[in-house]
Amino acid sequence: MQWGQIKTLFILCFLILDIFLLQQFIKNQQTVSVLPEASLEENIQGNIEGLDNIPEEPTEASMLYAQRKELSEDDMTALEELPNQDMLIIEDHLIISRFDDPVAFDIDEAGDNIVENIWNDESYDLENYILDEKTNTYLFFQKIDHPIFYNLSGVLMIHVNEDGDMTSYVQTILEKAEEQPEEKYGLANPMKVISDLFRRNSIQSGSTISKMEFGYHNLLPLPNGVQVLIPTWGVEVNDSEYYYANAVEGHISTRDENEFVSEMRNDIQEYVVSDIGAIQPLDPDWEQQDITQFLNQLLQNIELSDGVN
Amino acid sequence: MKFELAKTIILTFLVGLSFLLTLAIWNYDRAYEVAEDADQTTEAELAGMEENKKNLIEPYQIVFHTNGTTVGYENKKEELEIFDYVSNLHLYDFKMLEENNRIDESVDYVELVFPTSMPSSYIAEIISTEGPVSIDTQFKSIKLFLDENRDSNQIIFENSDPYGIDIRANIQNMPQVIEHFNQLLLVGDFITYLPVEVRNSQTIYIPKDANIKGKKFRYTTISPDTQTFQSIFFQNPQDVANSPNPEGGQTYSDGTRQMVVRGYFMEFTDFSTDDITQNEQMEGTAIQGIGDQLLTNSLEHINSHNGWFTEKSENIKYRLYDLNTSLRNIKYRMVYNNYPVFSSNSLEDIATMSLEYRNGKVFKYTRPLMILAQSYDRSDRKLMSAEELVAFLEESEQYEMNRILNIQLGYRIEQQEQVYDLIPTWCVETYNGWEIITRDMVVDQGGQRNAVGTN
Repeated sequence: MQWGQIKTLFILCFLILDIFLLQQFIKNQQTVSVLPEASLEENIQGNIEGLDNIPEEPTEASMLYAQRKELSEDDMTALEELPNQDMLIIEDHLIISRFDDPVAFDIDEAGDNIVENIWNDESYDLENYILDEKTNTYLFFQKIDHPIFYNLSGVLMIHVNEDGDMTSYVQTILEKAEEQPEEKYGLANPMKVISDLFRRNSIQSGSTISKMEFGYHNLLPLPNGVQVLIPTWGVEVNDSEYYYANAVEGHISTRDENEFVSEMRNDIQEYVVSDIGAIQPLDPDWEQQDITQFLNQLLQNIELSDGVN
Repeated sequence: MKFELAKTIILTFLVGLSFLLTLAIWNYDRAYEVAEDADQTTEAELAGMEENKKNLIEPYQIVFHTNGTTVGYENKKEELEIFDYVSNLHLYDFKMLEENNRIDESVDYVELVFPTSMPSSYIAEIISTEGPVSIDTQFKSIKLFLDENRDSNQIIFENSDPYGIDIRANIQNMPQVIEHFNQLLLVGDFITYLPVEVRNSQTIYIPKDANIKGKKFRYTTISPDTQTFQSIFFQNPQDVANSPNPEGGQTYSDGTRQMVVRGYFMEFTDFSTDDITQNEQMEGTAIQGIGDQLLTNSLEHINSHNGWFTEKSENIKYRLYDLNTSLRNIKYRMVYNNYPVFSSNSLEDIATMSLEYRNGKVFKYTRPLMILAQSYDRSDRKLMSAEELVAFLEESEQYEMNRILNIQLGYRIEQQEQVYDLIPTWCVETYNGWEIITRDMVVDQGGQRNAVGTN
């Protein structure tokens, strides 16, 4: 074959190769430009509703040190003045109370019902609640500037009967520690948290972000002493699923309200079984037998409704 | 000619363009990969050293079955030389041992028993083989038959499960190997071992007269209060808060991870391993794969902060003692003079390091925070003989022979004021773990378990 013909053939081959490479190159360029430019919001828009509920602030925060509040003499006096209830105090920090007569409870006006009957109501976020339907228990998280999600040492659990009246409650309170950490961290972008959840199929297409708020959370099952609470994005999906994204390190956990109520129940039961001396009645005339009976009834109440409703 | 010149120019241009485009596409790919996050690395270290797999996987016992009796070295340290010799043998022709091809054990053989069942992939870590062993099973002991007439099944890797698959292989230069062992049997100092039948009619061997001496050790400790130390376990050590633990000791926490320190023992737990966005990396992996990952990951993890408190001059080292692939748990035990060390306090088990993995990450990690150094002699105490021990176990209400998994001679570690005491002890393994047998228990028949005895 002539050199001229070979050249023609080569030209043809390289032309085809170049067209292919050019095509690849343009395709890559498009992906490169599309990825950073298309905002995370666009990525999930159309798939998830309620994106307006995603806050933009804060962008930085520190950890929060807190410890469980030990009740003082004054606190005890305030508790004694509450009407219509018998009360036990465990280790000066955990309040268990039973109403002599059930008190009407309207969740839409929870604030009003609680103010009259429960001490230190202003420490809790009464506008938001989580209902554990299995045990008929309403959970109100404590607020220290922001809500403290799912913390056994900072929660108000109200148990209602079949008529929806309050019958008993369990209350714990956290207080800010004197020393606080100084280091501030840039927080994970809330939109990215949602897109992570969507990408990993935790949030299905068509779901609604019913609420997203900044708060604090930690993962330790039974913390004692000073607790480190981590800046956290709390996400509520479809009014029923809850995800908590560590806004500093990024990992995401989910919490189940029924498991949380059971943890509290087990915690109380642990005292009944192994350290009954730590349980003190507010009314000193109570006999040990009454205390045990009261606690057993309370624990049974939680267990009885478990799985029935 | 002009036309040909134009063609040359076009061709050069096209060749050049193809080069440029190829380069552009390559460069793009590289930029994309860099975006992956690198793992967080810790530079903080403990005062220990690094280890390798070969040093951690060793048998706890080597015995010779010869002329109908079982003997072992009087000086247990010599077992390590045998293991070293066996490790350097060249094996070939690995095959599954057929069910109907039971091995004739009437001939002389050497038996190397490991503390725990291990996946067959570990064989390649301890013995020279031609490539990895592809048969997926487990083994707990190695039997090397000293029989010149045997041309196959010269070495068996035996499963601890009587119904499990065993592996057989052949040894190069077998006559020379047999000669070596016969020579050892002639010149060595040996003691007799007593066969004891335990659970599932399995036979274990314990030394009839224990020749084991206790020692006292000075020790150095590691303070958990420094940020350098805490940076090994916590991502942001500056935020770690500590408070006294109601059960004693201190608890350190950053809200996600927790480290409880009791005495010179620590237990670290990372609760973020339950993260819903984690991939179940080990899920669905074959047992062999999980076993490999557990060994490699735990070794790398402890190496990353020089966490092995091996003291060669004092004959202290660590050995793989427990491997649970379903719980993703691996445990290394302290060994002194080739005898295992046990702690009488299960809440502060300073004799072991254990790691548990969840979703491919360290979930729990327990370890000692003290290093034994400088030993000196302690007065001898009489230890029960093997026969006395068996008689005690048989009579005891607390133990049943068919519930015992293993019996080992070793040390129990106890803290005295300024020293740690390593006291010779018999130890029995049941489903509850290792339990120390003391002479007090013989006196009041299982009354006081783990009591400090007079043995």
